[in-house]
Amino acid sequence: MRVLRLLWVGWVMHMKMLTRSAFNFWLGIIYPLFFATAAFFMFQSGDDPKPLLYASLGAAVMGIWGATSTAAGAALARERWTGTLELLVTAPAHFALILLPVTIAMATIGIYSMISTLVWGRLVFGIELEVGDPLAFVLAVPATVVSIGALGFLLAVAFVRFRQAWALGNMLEYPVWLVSGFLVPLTLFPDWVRPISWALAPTWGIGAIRGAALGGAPYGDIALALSLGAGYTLAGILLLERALRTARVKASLSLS
Amino acid sequence: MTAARIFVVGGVLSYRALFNWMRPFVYVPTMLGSPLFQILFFAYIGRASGVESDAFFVVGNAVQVSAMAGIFGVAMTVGGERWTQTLSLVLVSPANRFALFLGRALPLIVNGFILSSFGFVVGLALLDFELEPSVVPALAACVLVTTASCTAFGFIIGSVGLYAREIFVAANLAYIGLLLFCGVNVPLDELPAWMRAISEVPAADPRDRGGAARRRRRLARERRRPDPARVPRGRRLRPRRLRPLPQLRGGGAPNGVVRQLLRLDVKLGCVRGWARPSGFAGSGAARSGATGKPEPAKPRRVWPTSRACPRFTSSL
Repeated sequence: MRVLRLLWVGWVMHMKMLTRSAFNFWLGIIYPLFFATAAFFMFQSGDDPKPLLYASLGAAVMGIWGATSTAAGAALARERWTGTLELLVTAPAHFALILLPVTIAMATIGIYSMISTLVWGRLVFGIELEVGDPLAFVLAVPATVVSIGALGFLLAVAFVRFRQAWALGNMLEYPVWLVSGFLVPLTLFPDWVRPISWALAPTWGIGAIRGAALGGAPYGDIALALSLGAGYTLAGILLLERALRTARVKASLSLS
Repeated sequence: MTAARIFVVGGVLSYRALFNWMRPFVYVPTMLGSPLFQILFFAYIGRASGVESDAFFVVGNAVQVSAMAGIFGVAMTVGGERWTQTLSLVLVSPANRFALFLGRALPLIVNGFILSSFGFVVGLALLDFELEPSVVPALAACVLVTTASCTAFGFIIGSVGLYAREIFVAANLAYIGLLLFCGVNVPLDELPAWMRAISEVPAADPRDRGGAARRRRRLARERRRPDPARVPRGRRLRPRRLRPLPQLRGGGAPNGVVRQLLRLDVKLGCVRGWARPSGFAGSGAARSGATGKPEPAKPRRVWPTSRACPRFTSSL
């Protein structure tokens, strides 16, 4: 119960902080709209509205990963800059329980971006989205957010030793957009890309959302997204344990 | 001499300090990784949507990524001073500010040129894109002027940093604004009229500063020319010949391209002119002027790939 409370309070606190940041909130909402607009212009050629619906959902979910990747990469660096990293690491609660709600809050900000992209598509491009299975859609969106947040957690932990981790997080924005099939069907990629796509939770998250909205089998994809999210969290906790032990031994946590 | 020293030494030191880009760990993901994946991302969307060939996206994005160094780099030179609390010291120092900031811009122009070249190499290595060696000098000139103008645009964004705290927001919006409004991934004639109008504004499209401004000045002069019927006696109008404007888009004559380069008319369309077959002013589906929707009667026109396009491999 204490763990759940810690996760909830951490998520709420970081949501409040992120929504007051011009970079993380407003730019996080506006930035994907530019990509969505470009994608809508590119996909709107032709009479068949299905590619546009496909692109609309993909562009909407792109915002969730866009809000997570750079911010998660810089999550620990931000604590380091503000001098709170050492305090958080030495707190009685496990550091993973403090970091996980941070990255999930970052992914949650992406929901604003998702909504704004769908509204933008509806108002400007006339893309009418009728959700085929509302229940599955309602389940698929939080499952995608949580799994992407867990991927951000793994990213943040993996870069704990790097001062400029934001650069790596920033670089990973496009590749995940690309190989997760947000806008490009996975069949267009070489065969060696497929296993990478399957290992990424956003692939299954967007599959679930598309399945719920356009018709398909979303529940399997939801389960796979959540399973991968749990896997990322477990891997992140193990990695974090190791990184913190090394940092304590070498006194290198602050990288100063 | 002092100004020259500030220009050179200040520029080099600023560049080394900026983002620590000289360290490969930061330079590679930021300056090479992002452009690489940006080009692949849009080229694959292009393949999925069938709107253009790989060559279209390689050329567009390879030229556009040069703005990354210009906009973010210059914005960070101002934002970075604020971050490190040295901005007030810089502003009150007696150093020639023109030399100081121009010196900071020069390495970024070189950096942007390298980025753009890297983008073309990515296209050649990974995508369906070919480049005739004879067009390389003209292309290099285009990229150089584009990079310089984007760096100048970065100064505008950087100056916002003197007033606003979140310079990154402005820099990001400026960068992706160029991505959308400059016809990088969506042909200009596919955009709505208001977006095309913005793309023609010199400040919004740094690639078109010289040409558009010159055309406007000429039109203004034409309007100011006195009416012969109202000229006072004893004064004669001097006959004046107007030079014809070079054709800007669609390939044009080979000499036209060189003229455009010399006259700084380096709009992205002229770069793409080499990649586009003649007779095609735009791309994609034929559209109704009233609704903007595809006309079913007109077949959709899809660009041939660079391999199939004879004009692309033609020399200047």
